[in-house]
Amino acid sequence: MPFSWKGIPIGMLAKVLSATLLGIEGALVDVEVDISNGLPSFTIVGLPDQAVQESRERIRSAIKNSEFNFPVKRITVNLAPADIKKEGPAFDLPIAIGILMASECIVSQLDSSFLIVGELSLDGSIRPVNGIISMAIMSRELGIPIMFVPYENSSEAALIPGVKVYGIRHLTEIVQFLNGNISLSPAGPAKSIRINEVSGDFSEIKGQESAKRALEIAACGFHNIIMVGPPGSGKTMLAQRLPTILPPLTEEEALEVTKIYSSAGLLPKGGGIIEERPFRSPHHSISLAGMVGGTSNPRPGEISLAHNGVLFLDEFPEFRRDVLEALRQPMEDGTLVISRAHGSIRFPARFMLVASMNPCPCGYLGDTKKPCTCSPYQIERYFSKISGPILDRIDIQIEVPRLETDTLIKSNLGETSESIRMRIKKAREFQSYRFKDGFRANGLMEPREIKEHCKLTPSVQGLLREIIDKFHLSARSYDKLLKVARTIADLSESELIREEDVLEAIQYRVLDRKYWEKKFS
Amino acid sequence: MGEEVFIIDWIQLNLTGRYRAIKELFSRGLSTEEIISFLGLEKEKLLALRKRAEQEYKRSLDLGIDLIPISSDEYPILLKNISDPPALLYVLGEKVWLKDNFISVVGTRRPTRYGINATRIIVSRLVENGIGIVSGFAYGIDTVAHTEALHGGGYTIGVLGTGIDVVYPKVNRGLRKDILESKRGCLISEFPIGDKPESWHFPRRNRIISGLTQITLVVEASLKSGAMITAGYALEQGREVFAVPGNIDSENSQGTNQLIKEGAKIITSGDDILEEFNVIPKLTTIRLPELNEEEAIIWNILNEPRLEDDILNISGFDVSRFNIIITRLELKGLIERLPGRMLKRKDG
Ligand SMILES: Nc1ncnc2c1ncn2[C@@H]1O[C@H](COP(=O)(O)OP(=O)(O)O)[C@@H](O)[C@H]1O
Ligand SMILES: [Mg+2]
Ligand SMILES: [Zn+2]
Repeated sequence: MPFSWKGIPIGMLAKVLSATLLGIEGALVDVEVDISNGLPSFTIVGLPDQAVQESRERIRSAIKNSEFNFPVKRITVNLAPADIKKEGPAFDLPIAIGILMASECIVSQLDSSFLIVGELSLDGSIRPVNGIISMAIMSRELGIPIMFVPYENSSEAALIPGVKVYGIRHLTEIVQFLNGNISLSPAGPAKSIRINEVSGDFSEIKGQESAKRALEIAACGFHNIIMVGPPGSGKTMLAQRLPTILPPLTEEEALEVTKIYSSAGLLPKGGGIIEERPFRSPHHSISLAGMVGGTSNPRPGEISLAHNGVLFLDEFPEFRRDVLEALRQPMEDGTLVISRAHGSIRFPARFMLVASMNPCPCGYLGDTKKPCTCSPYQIERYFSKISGPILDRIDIQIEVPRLETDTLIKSNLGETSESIRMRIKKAREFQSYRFKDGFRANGLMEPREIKEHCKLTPSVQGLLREIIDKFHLSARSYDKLLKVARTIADLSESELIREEDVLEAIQYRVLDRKYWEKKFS
Repeated sequence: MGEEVFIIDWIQLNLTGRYRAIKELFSRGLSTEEIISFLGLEKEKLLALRKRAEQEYKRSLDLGIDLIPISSDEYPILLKNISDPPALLYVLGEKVWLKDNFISVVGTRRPTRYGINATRIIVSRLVENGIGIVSGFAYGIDTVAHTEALHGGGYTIGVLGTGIDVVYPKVNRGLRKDILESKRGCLISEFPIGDKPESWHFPRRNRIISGLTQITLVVEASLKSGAMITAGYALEQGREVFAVPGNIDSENSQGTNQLIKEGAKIITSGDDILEEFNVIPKLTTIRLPELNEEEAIIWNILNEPRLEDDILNISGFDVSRFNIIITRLELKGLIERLPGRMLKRKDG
């Protein structure tokens, strides 16, 4: 096995294990350094990108400034396998170590294999790199017992049990450690960190009971939701408070999210594990690449940064059409696949979509006070932008009316986020028996799972048929109604979907309803 | 054969657009031939019109359109009396004006919720008492008025600004279908088959709306609204103009408030209009639907259209229960939902 090399110099040849990122996954890279006699040169081969090429200057200075000799010889570095593109500065440290081994400045005293990643500064100090947690996971899977990582990344790597992680501050430190001159203690795991700005509490939202209830249901079942209402009705306010009631991430989910943020370099200094559900709200001017991720230099886009959390698209119809179109596939699959010359890269992108929109271009359709000044054509066009495949995947559709100022002033404070969150937590526990075979949430149920988990008594079935008939719902609405009813039943810890659950669910499907199409009837 | 030639004569006359003269000559007892020659058109023009009239006739047969010349007993009498009645009406649907009293209800194409509610309240009361509704089939108040008339089981007439076969505005295709299929309404136009919605058609069409009835009610209109033009025609034609008052800071009520200042009767309920028709208002039939206790609470709160949040507050139900009760009432067909989270009792 290639990774069982212990970094022992073989004549003038040294091999060191390192890693790179493929999307958000770690991939093993062998760093081979050959030093031979000849005209002094320093070449890196094996599909390095520009940043890797630039590392030659950093390595040369770092070695010199750490008071080692930089060999005045012919140095060839090979990064293998050759078919993976090597990106970024994380190979600085393993290459430097390889050179020092090949020139016998280092004779490793370790008797097991190890993996090294890290960027070098000119003075030999070591800077953090992205995606360390993914590399640690990879190391564990490949059975590599030891990692040397930048000090600032060490507690992040140490989140993965089974790998001993040494945090390194300076080139001399790792050299002395490998030579057995000093001892280091392994890093401990990082604490959990916050990524969302804390944003208010549900109790601040007055009235809007139906909207709050709908958000509670959405949060509990991970249902996509769209809010339709005039400007100032509180749609943004409602959405921003959603994170305060979301159920916590499971361990597996937390790891997935942390991997994404780590590989994008979005973890705060010192790293850590993300235990809250991400809440992303990109502006509607966002580019396609910003939304789904870059293609030439794959980086997670907003849809991946929202993985296991919320993607809030405020002013939904204002987003570019191609950007909205691009949401479709990830909403089906929960992942985004970017094809490249050497295989494809997958980014997880299973998010809960929360969208808000005005009921019409001017915003006041259906308002009690202000007249709507839109032509019917404008309104048709406006809705055509959101209808179709995306709207098809939105389980909950609600209207948020503008409340009178005196209603706002008079109303009492509402229920706190904490108390709503407790209800959701209980409901999630109630659902937990379902969480197997890839089941994640009611909102993500596939037809097969709906069949299994949404069994109906004949009387409820009859009621559902009556509702579909009476409200002229499409066949497609049927499944969505069931999913939402399932979550409503879960919230009252009922094994069966009851009549009440179905009766309530229909109130959260406003865009399906005929009255909406006919502006004045 | 004679009948056919006769109708084609009238189509030809209508195509000249010389309504005033035609009415003048016809009321003196002249025949169609005589009127045509009196109009003194050039020979070529006359031939072209003739040809077009013949085509028009053929198409109307194909499309099932009724052609009603001013000479016909079926031609609406009130319309016949204005100074420039169309020489011929194209009609699709039932000739309901023969069956009942009608009032014209007009207003802005961009109503507020207030305008919509006012229209519904007044129209439903009128049709309940056997008064039919004439309007312009436009977007906005017109659409509400037609729709409400049909919902209430009443008659309605839509006066088009396009050829009778043209679906305009497009979003009203459903309403068009509803009117025609209900057998309780019709569409009327003076424009040739296939005529596009030219902007000059609409003000002109308005004189037919006011001309068809004794009373024109303006529900909500800004000063520049087409409904004000209709009101102007009504006055010119010696008909009455009624108006629904509104807030002084509402642009959409400036026209109606202005009409009231100028002497239009103030209308704040359907009964205000029924008086004029000497109709003794029917007592609103109080239905005692099969309601359970919870449903009855909501039903009682809904004595007028209200915002969901307000009903919820008054009722004191928790939101989940509330939504369940609302669906039950909707399923029973007792209440309906309006955009903007409003609920109202369903009439009729
Ligand atoms: N139900 C409400 N309770 C308390 N404040 C509200 C409510 N609705 C609106 N507001 C106030 O109005 C502001 C505008 O609301 P916002 O969420 O921006 O509306 P929208 O996104 O629908 O245009 C909020 O920041 C808040 O101060
Ligand atoms: Mg907003
Ligand atoms: Zn509008």
